[in-house]
Amino acid sequence: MDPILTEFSLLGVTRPIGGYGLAVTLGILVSSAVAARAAHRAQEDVGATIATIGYATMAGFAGAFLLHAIVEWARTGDPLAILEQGGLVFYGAVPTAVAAVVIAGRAFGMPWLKIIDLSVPGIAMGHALGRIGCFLGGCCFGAEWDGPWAAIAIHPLAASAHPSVPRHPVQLYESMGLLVLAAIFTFVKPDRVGDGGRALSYVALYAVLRFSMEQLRADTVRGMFFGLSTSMIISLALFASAIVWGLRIRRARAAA
Amino acid sequence: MVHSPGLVGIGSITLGALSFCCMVAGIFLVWVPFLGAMVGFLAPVLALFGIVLGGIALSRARDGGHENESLAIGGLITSIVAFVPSILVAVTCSMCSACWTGVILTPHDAGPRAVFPDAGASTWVPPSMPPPSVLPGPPAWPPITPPPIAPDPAAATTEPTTEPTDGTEATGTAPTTGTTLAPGSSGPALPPPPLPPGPNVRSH
Repeated sequence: MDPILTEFSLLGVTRPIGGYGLAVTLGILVSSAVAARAAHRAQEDVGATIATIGYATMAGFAGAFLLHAIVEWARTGDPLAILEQGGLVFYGAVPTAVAAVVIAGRAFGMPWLKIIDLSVPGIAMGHALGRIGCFLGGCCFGAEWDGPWAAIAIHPLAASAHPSVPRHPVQLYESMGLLVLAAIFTFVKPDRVGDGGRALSYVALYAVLRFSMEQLRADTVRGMFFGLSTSMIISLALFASAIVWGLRIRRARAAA
Repeated sequence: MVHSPGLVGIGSITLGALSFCCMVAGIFLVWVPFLGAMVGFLAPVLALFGIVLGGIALSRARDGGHENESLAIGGLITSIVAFVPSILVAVTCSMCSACWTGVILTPHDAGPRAVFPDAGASTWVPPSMPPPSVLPGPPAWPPITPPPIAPDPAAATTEPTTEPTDGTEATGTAPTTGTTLAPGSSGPALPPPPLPPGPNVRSH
């Protein structure tokens, strides 16, 4: 794996193309396309869905960058540390993107919960592509392990190459898990589980997946609190929230 | 105030084009602190706003009998096409520029004095470099000398036992190496074959 996939030249100036950036871009495109197609099939307003996706993408990037900045600030004590070590945290994107969908959905007069439900397989696919980008970039790396499919990063730009030892390809594990989730939710239609049921199921299952993957990760530089990483704590909170919210929806449906 | 889908579509196309311009500027302005990062990160934001406007234009065009739908689709395509390279440039060139900006902002670096006079005197001390003559150079290789050619032991020890008188080849213990003796001479006529190269010969 190589963080720099290739290079391009423009008017004599050569710049690199990173694997992480390409994977994230592909992930956004795939998830947006899947969501727009699902909205078209559900006979929702495709234009308004695309506009909502645009707002959600902007808010998601802002939230992911903000959480990364907060974590880096807490870790280094320097608010400008984010400038020297860029990055994104997926969990930061979740609340801001959901908030953007809620606000935009209400502004466009769309059922925002249904839009989120329709977007779930695309979100999982895009996230899986993003994790492949993590593998290419050498971030979010796994613990040291000398197994048959261990990965060794040797490029100096890859964080997992310091030290360059065989590690669990935990990014690929999570990518595969997300693809499985995408396949599951492609066949689970939203109308079978009610509005919000598919999104809440995805949140709960992803929290379980992420919590288990965190056991194999070794980038403890993100910060540990009470023996748990930041993402483990967020996973626990998300899982509990999804279960509670799901039970409330179920009771409301039963009462109706 | 509700704008017509045509106007929103034109806005979407304009934002897509602006995003493309910012992306190109971000490629060339990597080494300019602040400006390089700002322009590079602005490009995907503009493209996303173009996508949003394109979506709104498409929604309004379909609500209004597909009028100006082509403008909306054109704006969407322009913005999406601009989004892909702009996000790639943002996560490579603009991140690099942001790092450079971070270096400039770091108070203990030598750079900020020209950019931020309020940062005070720099406390950064450049590492003292030894003069080049002190620096260790590459190891001196010993001169390559060919191995000495040993005298042919057969020629040195073999002397003709009988001098030929009739011009025929000398008889006696003929060297087994094939060296022939010149008629009427005691030494070998041809030099011995060279020895194979020794271990000091390097191949390139």
